[in-house]
Amino acid sequence: MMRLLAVAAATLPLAAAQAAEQNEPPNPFSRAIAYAQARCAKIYGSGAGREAGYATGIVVSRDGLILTAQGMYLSGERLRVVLADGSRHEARVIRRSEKLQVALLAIDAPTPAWFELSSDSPVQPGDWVLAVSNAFNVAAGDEPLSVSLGIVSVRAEMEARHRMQDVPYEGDILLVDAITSNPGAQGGALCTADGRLAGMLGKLFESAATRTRANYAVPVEMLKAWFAGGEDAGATPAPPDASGRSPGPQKPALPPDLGIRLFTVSGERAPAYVDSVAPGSPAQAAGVRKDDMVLAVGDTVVRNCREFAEAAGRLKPGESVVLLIKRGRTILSVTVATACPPAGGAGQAAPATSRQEKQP
Amino acid sequence: MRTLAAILCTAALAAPAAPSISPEDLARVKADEAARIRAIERISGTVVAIFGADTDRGGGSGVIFDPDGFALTNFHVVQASGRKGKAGLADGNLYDWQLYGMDPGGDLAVIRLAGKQAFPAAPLGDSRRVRAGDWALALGNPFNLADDLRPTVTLGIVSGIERFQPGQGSGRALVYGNCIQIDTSINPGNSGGPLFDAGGRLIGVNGRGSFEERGRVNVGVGYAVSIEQAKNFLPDLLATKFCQHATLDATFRDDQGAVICDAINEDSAVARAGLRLGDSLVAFDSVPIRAANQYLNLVSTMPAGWPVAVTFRGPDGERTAHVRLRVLPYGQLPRPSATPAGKPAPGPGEKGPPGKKPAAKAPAEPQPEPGQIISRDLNRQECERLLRRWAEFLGGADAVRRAPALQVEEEVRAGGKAAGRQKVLRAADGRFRVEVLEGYPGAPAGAAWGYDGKTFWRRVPGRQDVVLEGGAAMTEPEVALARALAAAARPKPLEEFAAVELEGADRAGGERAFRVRLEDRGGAKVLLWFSVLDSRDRLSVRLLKAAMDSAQKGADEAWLFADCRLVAGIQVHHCRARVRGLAEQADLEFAAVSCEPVASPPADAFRPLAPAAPRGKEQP
Repeated sequence: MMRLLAVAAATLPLAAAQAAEQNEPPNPFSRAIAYAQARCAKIYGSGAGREAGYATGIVVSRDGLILTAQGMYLSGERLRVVLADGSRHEARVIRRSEKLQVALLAIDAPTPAWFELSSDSPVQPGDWVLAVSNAFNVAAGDEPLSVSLGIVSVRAEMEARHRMQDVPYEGDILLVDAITSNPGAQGGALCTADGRLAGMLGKLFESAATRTRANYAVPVEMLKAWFAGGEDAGATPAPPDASGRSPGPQKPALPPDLGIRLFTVSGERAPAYVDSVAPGSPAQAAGVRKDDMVLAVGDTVVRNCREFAEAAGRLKPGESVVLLIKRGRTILSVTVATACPPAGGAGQAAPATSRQEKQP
Repeated sequence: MRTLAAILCTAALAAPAAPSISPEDLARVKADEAARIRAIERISGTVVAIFGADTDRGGGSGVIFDPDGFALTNFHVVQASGRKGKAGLADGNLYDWQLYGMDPGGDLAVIRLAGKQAFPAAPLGDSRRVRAGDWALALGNPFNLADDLRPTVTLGIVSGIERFQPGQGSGRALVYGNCIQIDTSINPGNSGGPLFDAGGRLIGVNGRGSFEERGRVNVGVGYAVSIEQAKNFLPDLLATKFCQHATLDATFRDDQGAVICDAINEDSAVARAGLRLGDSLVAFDSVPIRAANQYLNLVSTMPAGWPVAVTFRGPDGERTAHVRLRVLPYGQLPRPSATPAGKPAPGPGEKGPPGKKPAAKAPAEPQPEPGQIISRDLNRQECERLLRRWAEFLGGADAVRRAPALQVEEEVRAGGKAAGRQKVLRAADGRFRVEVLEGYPGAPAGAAWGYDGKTFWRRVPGRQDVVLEGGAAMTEPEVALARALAAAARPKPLEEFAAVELEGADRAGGERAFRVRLEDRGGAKVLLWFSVLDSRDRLSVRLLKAAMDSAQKGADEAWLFADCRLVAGIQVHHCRARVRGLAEQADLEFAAVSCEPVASPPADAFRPLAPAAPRGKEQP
């Protein structure tokens, strides 16, 4: 949050000059709001029962690609997109993610104002965020979308266990304290106070038991990964580069193999106990043993096997990393110098879940 | 959802180290916070917790805008609580209130608190300057939380401006046009309470939320009636009127970038002014129109009868017409209950929690009709208050003593060009004398006319003198206006007139105005227009315009007054203009080039110049 204040403060001189004219206090959000409103779209599909037939979308390329949330409204015959300038366009669904409950739409029109999808989350808990959406369909035509202010409460993980959860979503979410769980808000932008995209307001989830709703957003880096065709990607259009054009598919460098196999029989949510250490591996060289419990990889706390896999998956070949390990009653830190991964091997790290996407 | 709970418990584990903040930024944050606290302290005293006659029943909130105890609230609050009740202020005291005017279509009402010499009043802001992202403070009494009557404060931002929320309630009469959308928490009991900007200026009246599917609690989408709309209706509300909203008697739709007239009442003023089906609306009230919704937004915040300029384009090109807006007919109207019902009426917004017990039945009062003045007595009191404020503005009760008369030299402009000069002697009791030094259209050099308290006379070289006496003199517009203006500024103005009425909201000289009708004991009927606010949105009663009363309500011929300057402790209009039509086109303008007080004008100064004119009937 303090970072953002600093950012807001950085933009103050201009605002202060304008404000001095009118003797008004500056509004530190107006630029970010205008920036985000220009990059969001109103989406109209078919309503069903109590579910609204409208939503919001985020423009993510200069050639008409729009991310939005999954919903019944996408299932109708006609799907219409209204851009910030009020222009209307027919849209089609390109692909959908069951895990993130998002969908990618395309319109046949250039979209010169679009959001850059970042690979890193620009927010931490406590940071101010602006939610830009068409909640309750208040805005029509070229009328600007509604904006509300809140903070990121926590970054949390949702686990989809089918038939056990109300929520089919799987992965991290950003919980916010602004009320975003309103009809029409899904697919809206969650932005930092300086207008960077932090996430997309997710599909409306309501607990069947308590009727409470989660005010949350899908983190931008997860959108990016899916959009880029990484996790659970089908045949996809490639992501835009900095110029907004879609480049050819690219393969990220594979993470190094530490040589640690975890005890995963109890599931991904079990603590990260070491089941075996590969002979001659960096982990063995560093002295990691069977039955050690890994607590942290570098600065990242890992509470379970899955988080270990994710943290290890972010390592770069040749990088050294300090593992925090609980062995018996003592806590140790060991430094593991990683090797380059064997050719073709995905190593131990983060085997990508390959759930097939539903194609429209 | 179970996972959510689990996550919240374990979240602390992953909390990152607190980022650092520079001392400068910290100081800035603390200064902002301190400024906000100061603003809240300043305005808390202006917030009203409104109850019905029985304080057990939660009503809503309100805000005092005038130290005389006048407060704005929602119509749907007084609809539930009746025409009288109790009002709690942050000082911990309960005051009696009574209903003045109400606007069911715009969800506003004005009540007056009694029991204090000067109430704390909220400064009015300008909601046209509000932008998305601005801080928005709501104060009020949600859920009846304030046992000590001190208001609850919630802070959020403006989510959107110029919003339109379509008709609700019975008859779909209740429209929120050009309203402010906020994410500030608005809950049952906040209704009628103030929305302030970061500087503590009143920018709206909170009244509605998007509650359609989550019950009547905050969902982060609330709406406030803009303070601009409230300003438009203030004269009607203070006149104790059952307010009516406006229509052009024509509807418009968007068609390929144009805003096309798709229905029109052929009998409407705008049709008579030339608007035809298929013509496009170019501007409304000097605002360029780019969408039908935008027009609807604007017109829905205006009172019936307001004059507006409408620019439209037809086959014969573009033209601008000045018309008075007509009354938008209500459907089945919601009415304020004369006696509070046992159950709070489920209004279109929200109210306090359900009543604990029904109030005792009071005798039913007659139900007002749309457009009617609800209370003649209060209306008369309000006239007196207006005229008193104007007298105060002019310089107070002893102003007359300080300058019983003024000698003014005026430059005359006709059609924007310098045309002539004249000398005017004007007494505080309505007597006057005009001498034309250099001629202008309608008044050749050497012409003179005057009124000495009994007789009106006019002398034009080469023509026979005109002399009117008694009642005949008072029918001369210049005499009637001079007498009315003089009488209106006296210490007990109402005693000077046979009848007075605050007719309500109008516009004069481009400003919002109170229109007052005064009937002289001689039978002359005069209209005076007084301002509502000054250029900095402070309450300010200044004379704007005067005319003889007619069905045209000043649209035939009227006088505009401007450019007040202090002369010997009195405010003197240094500019006046004779105008015609709703467009207020000036044909003659008079600008004072010198103005001096005259301590004791001789009695004969107002009589015709020697040789004495032969007395007789008017012979043009």
